[in-house]
Amino acid sequence: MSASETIPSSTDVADDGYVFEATDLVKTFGHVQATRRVSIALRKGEVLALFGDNGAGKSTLTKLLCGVYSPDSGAIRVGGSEVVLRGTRDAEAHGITVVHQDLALAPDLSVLENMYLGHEITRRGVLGGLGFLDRSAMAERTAAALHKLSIRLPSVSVAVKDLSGGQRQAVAVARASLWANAGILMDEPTAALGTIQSDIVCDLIRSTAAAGIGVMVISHDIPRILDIADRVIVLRHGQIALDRPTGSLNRSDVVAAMVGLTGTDPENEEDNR
Amino acid sequence: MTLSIARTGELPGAKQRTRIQRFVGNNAFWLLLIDAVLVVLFTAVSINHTFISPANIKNLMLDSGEGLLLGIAIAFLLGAGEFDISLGSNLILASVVSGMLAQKVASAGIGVVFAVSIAAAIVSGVVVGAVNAFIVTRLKVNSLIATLAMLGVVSGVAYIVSGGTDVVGLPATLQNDFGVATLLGIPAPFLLAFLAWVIAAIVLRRTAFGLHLLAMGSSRAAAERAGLDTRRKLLLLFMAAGALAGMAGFIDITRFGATNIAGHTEDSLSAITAAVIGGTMLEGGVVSMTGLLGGVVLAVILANGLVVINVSAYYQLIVVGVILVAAVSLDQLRQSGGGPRFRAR
Amino acid sequence: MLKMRILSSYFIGGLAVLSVSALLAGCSTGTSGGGGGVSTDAATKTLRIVDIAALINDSFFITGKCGAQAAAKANNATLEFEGPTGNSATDEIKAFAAAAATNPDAMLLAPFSNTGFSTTVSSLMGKGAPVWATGQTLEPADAYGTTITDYFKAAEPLVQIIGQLSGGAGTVGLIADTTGNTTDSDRYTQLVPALEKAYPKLSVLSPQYAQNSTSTAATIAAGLIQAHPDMKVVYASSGPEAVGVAAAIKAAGVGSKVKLVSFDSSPDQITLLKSGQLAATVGQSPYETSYIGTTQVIKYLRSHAGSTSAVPATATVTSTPTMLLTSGNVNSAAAKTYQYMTSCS
Repeated sequence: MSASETIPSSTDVADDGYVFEATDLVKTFGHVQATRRVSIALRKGEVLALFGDNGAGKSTLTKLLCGVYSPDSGAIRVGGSEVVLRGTRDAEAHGITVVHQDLALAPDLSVLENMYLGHEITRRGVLGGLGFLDRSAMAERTAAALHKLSIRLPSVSVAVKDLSGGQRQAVAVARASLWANAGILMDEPTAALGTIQSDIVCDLIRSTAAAGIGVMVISHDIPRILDIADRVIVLRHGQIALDRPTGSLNRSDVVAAMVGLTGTDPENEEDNR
Repeated sequence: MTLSIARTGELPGAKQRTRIQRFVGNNAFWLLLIDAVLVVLFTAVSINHTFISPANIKNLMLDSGEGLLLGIAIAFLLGAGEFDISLGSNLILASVVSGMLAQKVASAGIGVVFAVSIAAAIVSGVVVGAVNAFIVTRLKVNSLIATLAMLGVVSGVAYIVSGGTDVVGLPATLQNDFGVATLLGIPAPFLLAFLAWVIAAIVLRRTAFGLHLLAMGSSRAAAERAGLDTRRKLLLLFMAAGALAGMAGFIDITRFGATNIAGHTEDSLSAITAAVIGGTMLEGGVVSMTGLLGGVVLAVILANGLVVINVSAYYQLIVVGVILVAAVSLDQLRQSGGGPRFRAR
Repeated sequence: MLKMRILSSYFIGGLAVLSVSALLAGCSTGTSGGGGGVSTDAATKTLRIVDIAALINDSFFITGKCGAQAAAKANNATLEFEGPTGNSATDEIKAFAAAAATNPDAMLLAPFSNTGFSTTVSSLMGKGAPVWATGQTLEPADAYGTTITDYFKAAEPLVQIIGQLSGGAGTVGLIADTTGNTTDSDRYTQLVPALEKAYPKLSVLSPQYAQNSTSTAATIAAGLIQAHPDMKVVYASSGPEAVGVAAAIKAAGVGSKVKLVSFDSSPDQITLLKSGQLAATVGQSPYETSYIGTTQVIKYLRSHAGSTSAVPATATVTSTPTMLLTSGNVNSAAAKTYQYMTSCS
């Protein structure tokens, strides 16, 4: 069966264990410096938490990393070589996908249709040329992708709007991991969810990382995400205020960094290793 | 840890049928049921059960050709989250252009006349559709406003092209060899429309293009994030809709042997009604081709049946309105058992 | 944001300049137009007449325009022709008022409805600009004169024809245009009782309305033919209806059983007449009607040159002739005047 996937497999790109390494990213909008010389790296198989108060620049940074914005200066390296991302498709081509807060799922379409939107599997031959879909192939692969992340849904033919919030989040993550072979950026994955559903999504994030994908999670839910993160980065006023392994960091440490009470110099990287 | 969130009320063994298909199938089922009830009713009340005589079935088919073509166009547009109220004048312009060109080649023989007519009608429709797409995708005007404006523009162009009145003296072969022609007793215009319907249904359910249109209507943002070239798809969509309106214009001149520039004022609205009653959502993302057929059939059954059973003209208006409300409220009753709704848009 | 504000202020400024100049222009035409001020060569200056018709893309009104233009040309006057492109009394009232505001020397009016024009008509008449109504009387009767077809009388020959075609027994179907419009209903309201009196075995159905749509007329006719196996004649009250009914008869293949008669003689109807699909139709003489009206208002203006006193309204109605056209006489010289044209030649 032919697939319309254009993502290079991980063997094509030099595998240095990093999803991306961004150095000295700068982004200014008019008079506002949203991102001020931010260096950030995401390793494969790592869960990286990105915290910061409103206006700290998390959203801008995410958009720079997935290609929606282009940095005014600085570089993003994937597999050791510098890349220019001009859109989410470029990011996807380098193995990075994004799960936005609104999930970007089409509510009336089924799970499998959403999973394969834009990457449909078409039939062989003439029919395929005309765009005829191979639904059974897509269903099989969707089921496999869900299974790999230990997600169980009653059917892949259910319309997304008929799923619960947690299930929808799971589908969004599953889709991202299907088309990402390196890393996923997740924006507020638990924001709209209740306790149990949030726990489920957190388990899902860990499963995804365990499968070798790097996951960067932006969140306001500090305790929960701290629990599953390997590494924590805190942004303040467009700069990195904290960048270290989770270790014994707790909520107040993170909050302190967010509002600037730690006394650590954001330029002093030694302090933050 | 395994995530297994079973949803209560979920029927096991849903297999490859999406929930959409089941929902829509149900909707169409109810509509077809209403159609069947009306057929039985009209048959019973009409003298000698003349309502279901072969001659009258033929009438019903002849009456549904144009409506079905326009209905397909609007159903696809609604599915993609767009609107088009200019279909009626698109039809008129296509009929005028087609008629005038047919006149010019009248002496070249039947094959040429038909080839030129149908090509002219489709090209005219496609051009109007392309202009609609341009206004919507490049000038970023909302499709309701854009097509409302084009309604006037295209009508004006039709009058200028025709010289202000209906085109006179169309080749008789158009009516004789197509308009009143039948194949195995089925009127040719209806066959053309039905064929278009079959192709449309296949494209919608089985091709990537159809899926992409529904995605665009369900959540434009999701479609764009998935990397779909929405601008290009909308162009193709409006052009296809225009082609369908053009075909309807061709059917119009073959049926009457004349254009009707003063008519077609309700065509767009009737098409939308048929589509929406059939289960196509105004908000986009859900299209039912079976329901569309049921909706067109409903309109045609009512228009013909009320005359056949001798209901006076004024009461006809009332009856049509009542049936419309009944059809939609039956659907609402059935839908009220639905689950939670979530819109990503 | 700042740019937007600057742009919008330019826009508003420009709009203001435009409005002021339009006002000034309007005022200036007022002083140099007819009906105001004494002019030494008023008796010989070129008069400006505006003709407002109910439907400018209909061959009936275009023929009227040709007659008016011919009369204007022969009498040192210019004629402008305006009107709506769809059947709408309100649109015509607006068009009439707008034209009146440009202060023409006289106006011709072919009203879609009897009422609604009174304010504008009386204001024009009051300023010394005569208004002539064609095709329909105005209520109240405040025009300078009215030329109109006596529809009741014109339809009389149809009584005999219908009796002949039906053999005096069977059903007669009636497909009219718009309800509530006397130029339409006058074509059959007296005809029906006259028919029933002359041919008591004939059953005349109550009217169905097709609103200028060939499609609707065809659907209705097909249904009527289905419901009444003894249908002998269908009477279509105007052009599009005739075209629709003819198509339905042809599609049902009952041309030898069901005959068609109509009112009006548009080019489509003449084609049907010549091909035998239309047995007879009543042709009006819009050319003559408007010719008379134009000549009369010019005569008035010439004889009252330089006067601004009010034009006296008359309730008198001049009848214009009609002719029952059949395939037998359609090609005769006499029949020419009673056939409508799509362009003046």
